[in-house]
Amino acid sequence: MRFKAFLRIQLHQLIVRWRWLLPLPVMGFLSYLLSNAIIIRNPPAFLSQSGATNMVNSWDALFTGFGNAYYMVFVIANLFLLLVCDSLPESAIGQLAVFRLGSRKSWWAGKSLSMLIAAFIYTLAGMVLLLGLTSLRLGFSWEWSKFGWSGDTILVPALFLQSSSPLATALVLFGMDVLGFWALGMLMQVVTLLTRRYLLGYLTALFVLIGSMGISGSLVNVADGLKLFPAIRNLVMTFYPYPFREVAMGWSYVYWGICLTALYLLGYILSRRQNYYSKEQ
Amino acid sequence: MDLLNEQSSVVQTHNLSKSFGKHEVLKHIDFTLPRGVIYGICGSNGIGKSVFLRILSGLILPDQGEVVVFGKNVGKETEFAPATGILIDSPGFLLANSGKRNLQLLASVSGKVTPDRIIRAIRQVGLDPEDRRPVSTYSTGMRQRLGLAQAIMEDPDLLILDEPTNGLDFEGQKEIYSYLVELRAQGKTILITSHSRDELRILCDKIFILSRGKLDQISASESES
Repeated sequence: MRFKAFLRIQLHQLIVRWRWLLPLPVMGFLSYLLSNAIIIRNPPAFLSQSGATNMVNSWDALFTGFGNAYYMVFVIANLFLLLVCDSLPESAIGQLAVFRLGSRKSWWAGKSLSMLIAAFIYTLAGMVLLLGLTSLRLGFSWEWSKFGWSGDTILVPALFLQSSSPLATALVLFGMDVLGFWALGMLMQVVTLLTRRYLLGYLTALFVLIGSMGISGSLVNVADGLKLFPAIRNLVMTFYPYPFREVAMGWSYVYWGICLTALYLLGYILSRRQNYYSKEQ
Repeated sequence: MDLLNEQSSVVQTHNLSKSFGKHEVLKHIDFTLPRGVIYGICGSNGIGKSVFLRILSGLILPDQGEVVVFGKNVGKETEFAPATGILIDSPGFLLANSGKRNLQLLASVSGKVTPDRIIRAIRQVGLDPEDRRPVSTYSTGMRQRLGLAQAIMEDPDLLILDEPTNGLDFEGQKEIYSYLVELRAQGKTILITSHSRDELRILCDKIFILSRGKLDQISASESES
């Protein structure tokens, strides 16, 4: 009960902020870009050919958006990191709450859990917004579109097209991204714990993401474990920069699980010596 | 045994030191705060008064030395000072919520406060518990009062107050002082800081000055100068 109350204060400070309206224009702009790109590849004349229905739909935009490594790193993940980058330094009311909670370990658990909830809300809101906004131009269907079936163009491994519905596939991607954003947020918090500078935390997480894009390019003929090493390959479904995926999606969950366990334990150890300074110090 | 407890000190520090980089803020401080008194600490801004209070409360861990509050070693036996109410720096709250709602949230973290007690604490500092305006509309003085209300709402035996009259007008200061004196009469122990020696002289049983990392008691003649 006490921890729940503490978590409520943490979430209030983390999420009830004007900056959390930013995903609206950002996802709006992304939806516009993706809809245009899909329509350009599938000209209206072609779409209306022989009365073909479901030539394209909003799932195409969702998977293309959340599957594109550049969009993921520079827009989607980056925006999440910006939204939560100052979550670790404790505000005045946060310090009063920690003092009453009476435990730095519980404080760290609260920070970690609030990051998970923030990642969940952000990913859900981002996907629903993108799906909803693009459906205005591309239409909506519970089935794969013909454009989706055309191969790797929507950045979904072929296996999913054959054996899963778009919703089930989106849920797999959703899980990967929630875990990934949570882990990146935790990385940011651990670096902030170490350095007391949240800007360094943010830059480290961003560096890991951008760096993973560079590493990805050289990892083809290597062991499966190494193929999964770059973080970006566990945020999108294909093996960036290649349009295929050689390792089962479940391993990306394992990857984030290992990262989260390590980061939680590291933060747990560091938090035992955590000092709560005033903002000026 | 009870007599012993009555006479025992509420706060004791031994050889307490804290540095930030090469800057030694506190140097080997030994300090004792007996039960039922108001002690004041003065010193210029940025000298380390807040750091000292934060260390006593457990929010900052010292580099060296120990802090014992109500017989518990803070940082070893307990992470934060027990049975203590704190007001450190400018009190910050959730600005979109009312003062009462903020206190209710904090009270649910401590799990020790009844709704009646929250209302009483708000009244005791001169605020209206029925005021539903968000804290963002409060003046600095009102926020300071609300900060004091959160410090007293759990009815703590020790109050650690960092410049509690900041932002209050003269009348407001007098109200807070008379309330603190009332608390002392009830047997509560209070440690208060201010950059104004005159302010402390009105209220405190003893005044200490923090300067160059050392905490020294000021004699009566000095405190009147």
